Amino acid sequence: MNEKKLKEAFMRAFDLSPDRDFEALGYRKIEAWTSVGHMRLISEIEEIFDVMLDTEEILDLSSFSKAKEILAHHEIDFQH
Amino acid sequence: MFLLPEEPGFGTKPALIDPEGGLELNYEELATAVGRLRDEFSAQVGALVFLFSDPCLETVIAYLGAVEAGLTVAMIDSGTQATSLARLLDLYRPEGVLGPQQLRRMLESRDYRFRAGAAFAPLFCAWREGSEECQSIRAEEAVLLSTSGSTGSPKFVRLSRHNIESNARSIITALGITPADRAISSLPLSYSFGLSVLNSHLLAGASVVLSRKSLVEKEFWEHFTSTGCTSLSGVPYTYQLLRRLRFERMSLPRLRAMTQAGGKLDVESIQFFSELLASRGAGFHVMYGQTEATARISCLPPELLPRKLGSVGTAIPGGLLEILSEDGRICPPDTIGEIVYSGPNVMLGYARRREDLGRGDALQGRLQTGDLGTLDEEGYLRVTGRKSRFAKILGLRVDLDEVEEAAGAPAIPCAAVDAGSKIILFLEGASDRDRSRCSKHLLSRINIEASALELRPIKELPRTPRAKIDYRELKSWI
Repeated sequence: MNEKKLKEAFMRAFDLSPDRDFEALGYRKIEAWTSVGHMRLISEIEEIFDVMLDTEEILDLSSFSKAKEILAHHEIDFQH
Repeated sequence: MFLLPEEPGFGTKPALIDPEGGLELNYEELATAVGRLRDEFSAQVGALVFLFSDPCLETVIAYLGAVEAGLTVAMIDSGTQATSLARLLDLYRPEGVLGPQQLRRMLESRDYRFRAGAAFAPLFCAWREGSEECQSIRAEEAVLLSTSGSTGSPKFVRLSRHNIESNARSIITALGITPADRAISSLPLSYSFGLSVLNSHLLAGASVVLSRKSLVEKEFWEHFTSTGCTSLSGVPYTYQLLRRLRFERMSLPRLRAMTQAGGKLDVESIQFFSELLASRGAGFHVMYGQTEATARISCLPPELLPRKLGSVGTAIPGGLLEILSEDGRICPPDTIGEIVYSGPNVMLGYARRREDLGRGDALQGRLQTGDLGTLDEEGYLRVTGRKSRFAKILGLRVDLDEVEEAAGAPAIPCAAVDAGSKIILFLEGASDRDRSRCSKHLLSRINIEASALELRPIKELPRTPRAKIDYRELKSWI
């Protein structure tokens, strides 16, 4: 459920299709993930999960798996 | 030597720092490397070279060495796409290309031949066949800079060595840059603002940290603090981003100055940064400039905030600002008119193709900026808007005429309008298929964020009685 929501955030931020290999996405690895795209992604994630990320977390969120790791600290569960 | 301090005593001071590779070049080593490259380039005096502006030691050495040897260096954004590059190569026929290895195959198919250069290992250096016997007269243009930041636009500003050196000198005085200062490459070197940070710090005998990382990567901030940077430069978007990153919580103990140019920053943010920096014993410098004036035109000293809030300051040393009415008369204080700047940093002119190089000084030191503004009784400038057809998107200037041209659909009349944070391109009688085709075409030719471009099909474009597109009417539709 949360995984699907996270994919939704990535899809909206970078205009991606649902069949994308999300695990392979990374900062500067796709054209849309620029510094501007990065802030768009942060906004999408904050909105969808209703969280407020701090500086460290924003700078650290450089891939799909990193996003899960960071959100886990906000008690958002990706195990189920 | 070009942009290197002449006073003795700088020899062992670090000039350039590559934090990723842990490399440091002091002024003596830099001068030696530049001298070696100048000698290597001396057979190509007067040639035009494209230099990919990846922020690294080799780029800076190549830039300084080529200008010192009397070549013209066109700074090419390292993100330039293949189609844009091909167009630039066709229009400008550069004798040489200095860039990443990945270009090798493309260049070899265009009769460029790789030449090994001792001074130059990591950069790919290729010369066009038959270009050995080129002009051999020192080029009057030292540097060509794109007018629109990072787009692959073929329109360049022609700058002389004198333009660059005089602007760097004025900036040093206006900002009070000292040899103890240390800047970081937070903006591309192909962008006039980014290049001016490098130029002014070198000429001041200060240090420049060349980081390939961007502000949203934690390595950037590690580089910033580990090398002890004292200043940070940004466009309005940079400052919006810094607020989102909660800049006020970051610990940057050696920070002494932040500079802002490249568009209008909202007064609330100016106040925020100016108060924050003042409380930390640092200064927030609001500035104004244009690539057509090499980079900088005016600066506002930090201590004049908040008194002069909303102003971009007075003309830099050696420059003169005037406000002209539509009939060319000087406006009285606080009256809106076109901002006209005179100074030794005003460009020679524009170039749209190779034939435009060497055309001499078209402006004679006087630039009609195309910006509207006012000067107050004390000579402080406020910028109120633009006269001509440019949009500023995320700090980069986008020529609306070029957007229309690049839409690449001659059968579909279109009109681009600046809608503040994005550009709206109205497409007359376009189907959904036309729309997506135009969008793809545009995004491949102009380096603009997809979110900053809206394509809006409409039945019919509004026109004036003379059948010209009525942009005023279009603007009222936004």
